[in-house]
Amino acid sequence: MYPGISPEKHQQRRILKVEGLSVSFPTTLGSVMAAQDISFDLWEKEILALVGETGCGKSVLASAILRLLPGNAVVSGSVVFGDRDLLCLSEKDISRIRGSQISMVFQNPTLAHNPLIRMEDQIAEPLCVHRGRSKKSSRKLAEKVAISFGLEGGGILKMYPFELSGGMNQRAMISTSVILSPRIIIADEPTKGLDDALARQAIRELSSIKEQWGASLLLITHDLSMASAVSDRMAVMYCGQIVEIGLSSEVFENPLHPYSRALKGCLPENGYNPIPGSSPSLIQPPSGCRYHPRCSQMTALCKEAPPMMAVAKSSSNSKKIGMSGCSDDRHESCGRQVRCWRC
Amino acid sequence: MAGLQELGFFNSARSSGQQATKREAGTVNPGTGDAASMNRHERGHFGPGSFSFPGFLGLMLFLSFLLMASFSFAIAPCDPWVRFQPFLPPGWGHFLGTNDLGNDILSELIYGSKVSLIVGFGAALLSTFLGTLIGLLSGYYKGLVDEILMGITDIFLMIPQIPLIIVLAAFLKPSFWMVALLLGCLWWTSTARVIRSKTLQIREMSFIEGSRSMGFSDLHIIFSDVLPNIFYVILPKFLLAVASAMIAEASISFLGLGDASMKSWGMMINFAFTRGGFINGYWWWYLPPGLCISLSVLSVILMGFALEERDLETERIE
Amino acid sequence: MRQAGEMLALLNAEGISLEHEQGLIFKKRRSILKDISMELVEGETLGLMGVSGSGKTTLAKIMAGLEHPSSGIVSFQGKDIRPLSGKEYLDFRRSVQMIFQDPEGSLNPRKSIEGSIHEVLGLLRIPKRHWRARTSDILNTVGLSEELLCRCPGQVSGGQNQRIVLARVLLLNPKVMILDEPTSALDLSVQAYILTLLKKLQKERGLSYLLISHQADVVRFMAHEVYVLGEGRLKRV
Repeated sequence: MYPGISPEKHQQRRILKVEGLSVSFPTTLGSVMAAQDISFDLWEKEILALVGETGCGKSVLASAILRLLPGNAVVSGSVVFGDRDLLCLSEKDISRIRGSQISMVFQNPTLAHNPLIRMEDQIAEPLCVHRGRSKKSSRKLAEKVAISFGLEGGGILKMYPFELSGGMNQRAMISTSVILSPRIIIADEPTKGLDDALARQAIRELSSIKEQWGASLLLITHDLSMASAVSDRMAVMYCGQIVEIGLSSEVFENPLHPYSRALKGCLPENGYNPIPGSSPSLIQPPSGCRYHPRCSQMTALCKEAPPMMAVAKSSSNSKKIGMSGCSDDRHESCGRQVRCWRC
Repeated sequence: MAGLQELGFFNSARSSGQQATKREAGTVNPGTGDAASMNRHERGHFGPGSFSFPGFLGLMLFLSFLLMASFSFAIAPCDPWVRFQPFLPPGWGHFLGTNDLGNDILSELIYGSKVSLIVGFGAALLSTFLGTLIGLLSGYYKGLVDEILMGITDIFLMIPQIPLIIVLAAFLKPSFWMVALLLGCLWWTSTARVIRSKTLQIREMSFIEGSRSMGFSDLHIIFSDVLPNIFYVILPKFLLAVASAMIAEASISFLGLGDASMKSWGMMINFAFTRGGFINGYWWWYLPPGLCISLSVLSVILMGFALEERDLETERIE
Repeated sequence: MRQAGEMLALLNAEGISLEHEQGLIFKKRRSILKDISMELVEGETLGLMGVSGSGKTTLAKIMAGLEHPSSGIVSFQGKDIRPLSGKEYLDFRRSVQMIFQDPEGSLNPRKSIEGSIHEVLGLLRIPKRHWRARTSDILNTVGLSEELLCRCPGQVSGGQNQRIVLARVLLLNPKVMILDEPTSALDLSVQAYILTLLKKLQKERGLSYLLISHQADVVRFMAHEVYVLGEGRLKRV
């Protein structure tokens, strides 16, 4: 369905390290734990997919990394980009990083554009703002980038956002986000509101960013099959926690956490097997393993919170990972981690 | 107090509660003990939550005017028609002095609040009722009904209103009831337009379509599905209508077209103007009614703004 | 035309066309649906696919009697729905129900869940003393707990909203349900839940569905027959 992308085979460096990131929102009903103790690394030139259902906290996580959360959010943990902790930076420094170093592709491409500005200026705007380039030269570059994403001919660049289709708007948005050649692109449900065919195209374009622009992609989605087709690694989120992380192919083919397994069972090709029960609230999440009330393999141990545990690689997969040429550091995080007592 | 909260004067009671719990929730992550794990997203907020002070002020002012109007016979120091020595400056006997006929100005002022409030609320009630009804019907039924009702609205919009009121007030028996009725019958147009556009928007939502396909009657849909969802537009609109009706009443009375047999603030200024109060510098004669007009209008407008703000707030939350 | 023994079509569309006028001064007629005929049979699901903007939702509304075609006839149990009145119209109105795409917009945001359900019970003229039992009964059918009753639509999840909409509709005991992208705004696991629930209901109550979706998987899972709407025409797959 989606173009498969094999893991990169050359030496890679870590560019983003999220450690123990927790986000909560105090409300009158109690504190909403939108994300709890999230840790992951993002490597250079890789696509990491964060998969989870509505309200599991995946979008909050993205906003927390770029510090776009509303003022009442309580954030703890660290997000190290380069050698700096993004959560410690001043507002001025972080806004310099937003867009130029880390950029974001939003949901709903049609609404994310200013309806009163022509497409070319829309795409060129970050150049004028961040790099201080003249309008003319940035327009020229914008055109180049737009063409590389298939936006050419018919004066598309002279049009306004509402004159373009959703797919074109999405491509324009991707162009805007890569124009400053950022090192990380965070895509929050980039296919929401698009038709199947358009969604596939948008994903193809997003995944081409890795090769063309040398950026890493943090892809936030609820679509498990799309994530497995596009991403190198995948993290499954449930109720504010990462429950499983590992190479996409492994997580998808052989999910270890009961939730990932159940999620896979919901896929159309597996016959729409619903998960019993409903998603827990983030205000009073279940104690212990957050999935235990819905889990079919619940044991007494599940009442206590399981830590992230590394999983020993099975022999069939070890060869593949060896080939991906991880440094020692990388090796450690290539390894699968699962938050379940049984694994 | 719950009623006040309902009306939005304690704007974000929610957020004030949030402030309290925030301190406890901002824990340091035990996993990473360095400074990086400290909570950095706390932002200074002022005071005990941010309840809408202007709204509260408006409500208090308004309540005092309401009190004045409803218990004027008890509050007023003397009968406003009783004559004392004329042109007395403010002093112990008469706090705000007396006018050319020797009437106590403070008592006149207190009795005058009645007219102002009755005209303001009467006209606003009538115009809001008419406007809401017409807006709802034309927005919900669309098509021919819409064209006819909006055509009528356009005609009413074209009428020069204040001159018409002046002419009618001059010919009909001038009474403040008549003024309220006239204002109400002329001022529903803008309400109708706002309500119509909001209704058009709401009726395209799928729950309306759903109710229609379930076989609910149109009246049921209009009053139980559409109306509650546009109520938040109606209330501020109503309050602003009250304010402008109060000003209009004062202007008409000032022009001498009001009810001469009733004490009203506009009429007081009119008398002060025509009988030499301005020229001779009897400031206690014309200044208090002017101030009262301004304050009462201000109080209503402040309440309207507070309500509007609350709606923006809820819209943002949703 | 109809062979003996074949099941009678519940909802039938014959030669439906729809045209819109466009333009300020020079009116241009644009044709949206061209000569569409279809049949919905009891207990079966008809899948309708098409790209966005192909007129799927418009066709659905025409089938539900919420909009009228420029020409053509929609008939319910063999009777044209346009001249229906009185009891017959009420019968049609209750038998053919529509479920919409956006779960949040499908319920009145200013009414509690309980209010929304009671409203339907009131419409059905059910005596008040039975309301409690009926409410918990119908919530049970769609797999919701009674805790939700006092909340407003904004305070429950999309999947729960969609189930409440379903519960409301089921109270009317419909024969035909027109599902306009019922799950496309929902998460995968919730989607799976709703689809399985719809399938179960079809089996238990012999409902017939007209399922509109752009997701091929969903249509394949649910439908007995699949049509594609493109350029205003219907093609069978």
